[in-house]
Amino acid sequence: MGLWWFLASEIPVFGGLIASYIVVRLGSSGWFEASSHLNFSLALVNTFVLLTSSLTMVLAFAAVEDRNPKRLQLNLLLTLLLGLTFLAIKGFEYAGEIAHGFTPGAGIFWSFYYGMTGLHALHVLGGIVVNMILLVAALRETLKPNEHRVELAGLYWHFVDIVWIFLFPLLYLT
Amino acid sequence: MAEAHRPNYFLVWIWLVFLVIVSITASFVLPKSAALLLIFLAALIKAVLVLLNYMHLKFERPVLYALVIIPLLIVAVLIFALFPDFVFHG
Repeated sequence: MGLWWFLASEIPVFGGLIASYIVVRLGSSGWFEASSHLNFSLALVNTFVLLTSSLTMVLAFAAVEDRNPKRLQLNLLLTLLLGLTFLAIKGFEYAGEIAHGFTPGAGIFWSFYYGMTGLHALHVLGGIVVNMILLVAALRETLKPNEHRVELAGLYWHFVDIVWIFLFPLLYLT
Repeated sequence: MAEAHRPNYFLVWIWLVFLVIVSITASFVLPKSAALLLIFLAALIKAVLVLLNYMHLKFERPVLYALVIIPLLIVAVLIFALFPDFVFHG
């Protein structure tokens, strides 16, 4: 229940940013041109990476229920690697954009872009740290009394996935 | 949650991937307004699929639905409150 309260408090954080983006974009022109400079292919790969990481995360939870520690370890490791892959691709994408002069100060679209995706990336990083702690505990076989934490970490991870589900079309498909 | 009541996680993933493909196809082949409608409808369906199946909201108490819906309503109010000011007054 506590984690659901936390997630509920996160909705206005991302929702506020997304709402501002929609309203400002509707009231401005030239944003389509700016968004055409984004790397659509990398963002698409990242979308599949994050969706797949949600699958492995929920499979880790299922492994806890099935009392299958090997499957738990495998799925936590896969989620961790997919999360790191997401951040690596995002970093590569940022580097390309900055190299072309599209920095956060290059215009209001870019300020929104870096603000929203940067905050999202920080949340992914937070999830990776939590998953890493859980994986180490699972490998040391000390997770047993706190296995419910896999479900809590999963709730957070899926929330981060949902945020990306909306960021991807808002930034790359419109 | 007993295994018998567990959602088919892999099937949900296939639906999520399918909806991404639908969104991308729509952005290339449909007129802009129709594409936008389909893209955001697909995003909404994806979010609900994750919420209900991966976050197991469909097995939770109704109070948790309120915890999700109330902040979303606040965000919707924010959009509609700011919309006229930005769009009609520049």
